[in-house]
Amino acid sequence: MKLIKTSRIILLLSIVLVLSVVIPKYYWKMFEKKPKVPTYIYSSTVHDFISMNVINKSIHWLDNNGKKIIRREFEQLAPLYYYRTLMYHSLMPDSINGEKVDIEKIKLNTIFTNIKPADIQTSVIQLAPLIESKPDGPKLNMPKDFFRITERMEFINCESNSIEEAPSKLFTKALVDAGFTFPAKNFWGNPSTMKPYDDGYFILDSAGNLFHLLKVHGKPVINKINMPEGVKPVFISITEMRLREFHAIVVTEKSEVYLISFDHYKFIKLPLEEYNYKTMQFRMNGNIFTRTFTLIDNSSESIIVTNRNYEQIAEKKYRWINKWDTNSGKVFNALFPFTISLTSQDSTFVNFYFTYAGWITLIGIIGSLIFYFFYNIRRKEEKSNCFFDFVLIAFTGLYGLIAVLLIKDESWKV
Amino acid sequence: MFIALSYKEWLKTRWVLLAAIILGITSILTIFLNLGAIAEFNDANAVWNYIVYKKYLFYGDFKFVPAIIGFIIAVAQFYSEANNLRLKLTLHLPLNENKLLFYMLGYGTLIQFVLHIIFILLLSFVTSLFFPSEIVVSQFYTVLPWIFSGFVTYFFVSAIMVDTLWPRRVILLLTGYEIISFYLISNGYNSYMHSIQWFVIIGVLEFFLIFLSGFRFKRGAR
Repeated sequence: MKLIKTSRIILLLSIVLVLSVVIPKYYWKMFEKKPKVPTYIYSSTVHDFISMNVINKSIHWLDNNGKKIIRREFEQLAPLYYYRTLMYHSLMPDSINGEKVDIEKIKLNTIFTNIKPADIQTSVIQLAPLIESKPDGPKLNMPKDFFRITERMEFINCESNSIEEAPSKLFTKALVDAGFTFPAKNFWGNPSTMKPYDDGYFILDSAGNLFHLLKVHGKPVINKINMPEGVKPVFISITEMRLREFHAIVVTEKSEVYLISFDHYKFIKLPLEEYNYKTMQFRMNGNIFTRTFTLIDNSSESIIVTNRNYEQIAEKKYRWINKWDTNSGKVFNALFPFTISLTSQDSTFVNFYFTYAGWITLIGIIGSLIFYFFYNIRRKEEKSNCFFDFVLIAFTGLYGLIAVLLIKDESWKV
Repeated sequence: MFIALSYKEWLKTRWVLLAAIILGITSILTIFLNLGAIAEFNDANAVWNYIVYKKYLFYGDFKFVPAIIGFIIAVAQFYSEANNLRLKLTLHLPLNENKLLFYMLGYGTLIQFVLHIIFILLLSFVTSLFFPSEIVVSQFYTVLPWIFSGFVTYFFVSAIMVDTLWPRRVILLLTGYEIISFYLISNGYNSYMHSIQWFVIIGVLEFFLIFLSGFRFKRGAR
């Protein structure tokens, strides 16, 4: 009989698992409302935030005092953001903040980049193409080989899938000479030819040192980078912008963010105290005068504006009600003690992502237990030992109740 | 006794096994031919780029093969037994009913285990002709949950076949469908790297589902 009971328990647990994945999925498809989040833009003319709000499905443009203005006025408050539109309407001012408007300069200085949690929490096969940084011609070309950095640096010919000894020896020797400790822990680059120039790879060796590797005329160019004390990169985003101000953005284990500047690989720390790379999206917008950093998670947005020396000059925080704090969320939490999701928007890994409901869920658990208790009394059939059923309901609430009602214990019915 | 039972299972499943082998080999052959064609019409480095960075699964044709094999083996072993109530005769053999079901299911599991080892070796061999070990390893990690989806399908379909009541069959079907989909949910590589152990444990536990169904069958729940 033990085997039959085990078999039933496994079926019950399987049903609970399925319910805790499926019920929340459909529940939120029905009840989740898109949060109305204003778009904040830092105006470089009034030096404050202006915003775009969606109210009753129409857009309201507000100036820095919260006064409703028309779209064209709004765009004129952020000329560096809307310079294309303003030029189209011949509304672009001649000078901004006393500086003469030079469209080429505006274009060069307008930058955007973005790091999502799923860019960091993912697994990428450690093979990459090393693009020639000084190509013989106007455009970058994909090389015919990919490299790996294990006990040495090896180039593998893609056509024949065989190792090319000559460059492998050349690059391995150069890395050893630069003080590299094999194997590489990780490396980051931008394996694309659709970019203004190539900035090679940033490689973290097994001793935790950072190196910058480029292929110039087929030869290795390697720079060892002096990182500030205690910096352990978990992710590096190579920016390769026409504005050659910084090579890359470094995200560290402690969720600090640094820029690696073109000036002797100097590390510039960004004033982003709240950032958490595991849950927050990082966005960086830049123009001639300012840098705007936006950190977004599932219920808040922080906007930090700095000057070109990365000193904070303005800040805006906006919170909205997380779906779990809405009425639908509270009802759900009262009914069900947890949610399991197999995927997460913050990661490319499949896993059992739990969300717990908190104390409010005791309502659902106690209700389910009482229901099952009276249900059992009313059942006139011979009762078996249903201790496990109560334990299951105590831990899984309504999920467990549904499961035990569907799959009744029959092991006593021989 | 086990040898006699195995012989019986062999008689029931030999044609289906042949079909399973043909299905597996065909899918691997398709993958091989596809790779050849892709290599012919594209630069090799572009193909590598696409695989590593766009997470193109060139072995995607294999994704549903284990589940299909699990399904057809379960049907071959249990459909006629359960439907003509022949299992009643089998269950009256001088052998504990649970032991008997354990043998039957063990036979099917073992066969699939052997098949999938062969398939993985073949697939890895084919891939290693074109690509370095990194890609072969990531392929193994990616194919592993697919293979477990095959075992889970087999366990659920067997339990559904043996159970006699439709309401219970529907519950098993819906539960099984969702759990199988857990193993096939990802479209990228290496997605199950941090969680494969849990999926393996869940897969192995589903082996025991059949005993409740077998018990209900013998008791004659209808």
